[in-house]
Amino acid sequence: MPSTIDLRRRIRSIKSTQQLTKAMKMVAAAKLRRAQERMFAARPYAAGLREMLTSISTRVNVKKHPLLAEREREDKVLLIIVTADRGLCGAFNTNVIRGAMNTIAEKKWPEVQLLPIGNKSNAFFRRRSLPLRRQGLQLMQALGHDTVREIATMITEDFINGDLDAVYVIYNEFKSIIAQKVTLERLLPLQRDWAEGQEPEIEYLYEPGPEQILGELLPRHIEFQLYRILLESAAAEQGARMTAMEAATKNAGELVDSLTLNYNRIRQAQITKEIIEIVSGAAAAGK
Amino acid sequence: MADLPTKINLTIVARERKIIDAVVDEVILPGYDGELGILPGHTPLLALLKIGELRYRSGATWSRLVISWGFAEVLPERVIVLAERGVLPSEIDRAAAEAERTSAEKELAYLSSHDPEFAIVEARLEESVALINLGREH
Repeated sequence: MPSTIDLRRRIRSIKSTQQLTKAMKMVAAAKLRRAQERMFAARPYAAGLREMLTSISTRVNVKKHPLLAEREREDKVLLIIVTADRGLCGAFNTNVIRGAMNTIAEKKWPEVQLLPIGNKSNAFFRRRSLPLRRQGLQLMQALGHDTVREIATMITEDFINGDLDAVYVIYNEFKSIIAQKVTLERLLPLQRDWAEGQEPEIEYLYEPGPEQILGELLPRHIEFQLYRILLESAAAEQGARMTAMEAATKNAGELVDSLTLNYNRIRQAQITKEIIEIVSGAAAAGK
Repeated sequence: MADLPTKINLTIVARERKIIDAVVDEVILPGYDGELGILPGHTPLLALLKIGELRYRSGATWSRLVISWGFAEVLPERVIVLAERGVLPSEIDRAAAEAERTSAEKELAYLSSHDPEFAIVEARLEESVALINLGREH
C-alpha cells in the first residue's frame, strides 16, 4: 500500500500537469481563433481569383497553357508534406506522415521527391531514404507570402522545365474545430476547379490581352492555393492541439479524483487504526 | 434606353483583408499600360494592374491608396480589385518606405537587367516610391 506522502506527491504533480494542459488548451484556442480569422480573410481574394479564371477560361484555350496541360505520365513527382512545427496535438502529425507513406507506397511513382514543411515532417523524413527536395523548417511559424512564393516559384519552374511531372500536397484539412482530415491535393498541373465551358455571361474587354492576363493569373493562383493549404493546416493544428489538451486535462482530473479517493481511504484507515490502538490501550490500562 | 448606373460599388480586396467596400462616383486604376479612368456604366473590362496609386472619388473628395500588383474586374455598376497588397495613406510608414527605396536602389545598381532578381527589386523600388509620393501629401 502506497504511503500517504507518496500519494500526496503524485496528486500534486498531476495537478500541476493539469494546469499546464489547461493553459495550453487556452493558448491553442486563442491561436485557433487567429488562424481561422486569417483563413476567412483570405476567402474573398480566393473567390475573386476563381471568378476571374472562370471568366478568362471561356475566352482562351486554357489547355494550351503549360501549367494546365495534363501530362501523359506521372514519372517525376514532388510530394509536399505539411505538418506542424511542434507536437502535443494528438495524431495530427502522425496522420499526415502515415498518409504520405501510404500514398508513396500506393501510387508507385517511379521518381519521388519530398518537400517536408514543418519541423515534425522534416525530422521524420530526414532519416528516411527518400530524396528531399529541400527542407521547409520553421515555415509554419512565420507563415508569410515570401516563403510561399519562393516554393511556388521553384515548383512552377521545375514543372515547366519538365523536371517534375506533377506536384502533390498532403496536409490536414480544417473540417471544423474538432475535426481534421488528411487530404491529398494535386497542385500541378492545376486542377480546374472553376467552372468551365459555360457561355460567357458578360463580354469583357481585356487589358492587356486575355493570354497575358492568364499567364499572370495562373502563377498567382498556384501560390495562393499553397498559401491557403498552409493556413488550413495551421488552423487544423491548433484545433487538434485544443482537442488533445482538453482530453489531457480531463484525464488528469479523473486521475486526481481517483487518487484523492484512494488517499482519503488510506488516511481514514490510518486514523481508525490509531483510534483503535488508543482505545484498546486505554481499555487495557483501565482494567 | 436602359438607365445607366450613376454610382460604382468599389471593392478592393488584398490577400489578407478587404480594404475598401464603398460606393463611389469615379475610379482611376493604375493599369498595366497606363491609368484607366472608370466612370459608372463602363464597358465590362478585365485589367491587369501594376504597382501604383489607385484613386477614387465620391462626391468631390478624392481618396487614394497604393496597391501593388493586381487585377481589376470592371462592370457597369461594380469595380472589384484584387491586389497583392494595399496600403492606405494612414498606414504609410514613410521612414520605412525611404529605407526600402534606398536599399532597393543600391541593390539595383549591382544587378543586370536580365537577372531574375532585377524585376523583384525593381518592384520593391516602385512600391516604395509610390508609398513615399502618397505619404508626402498626407
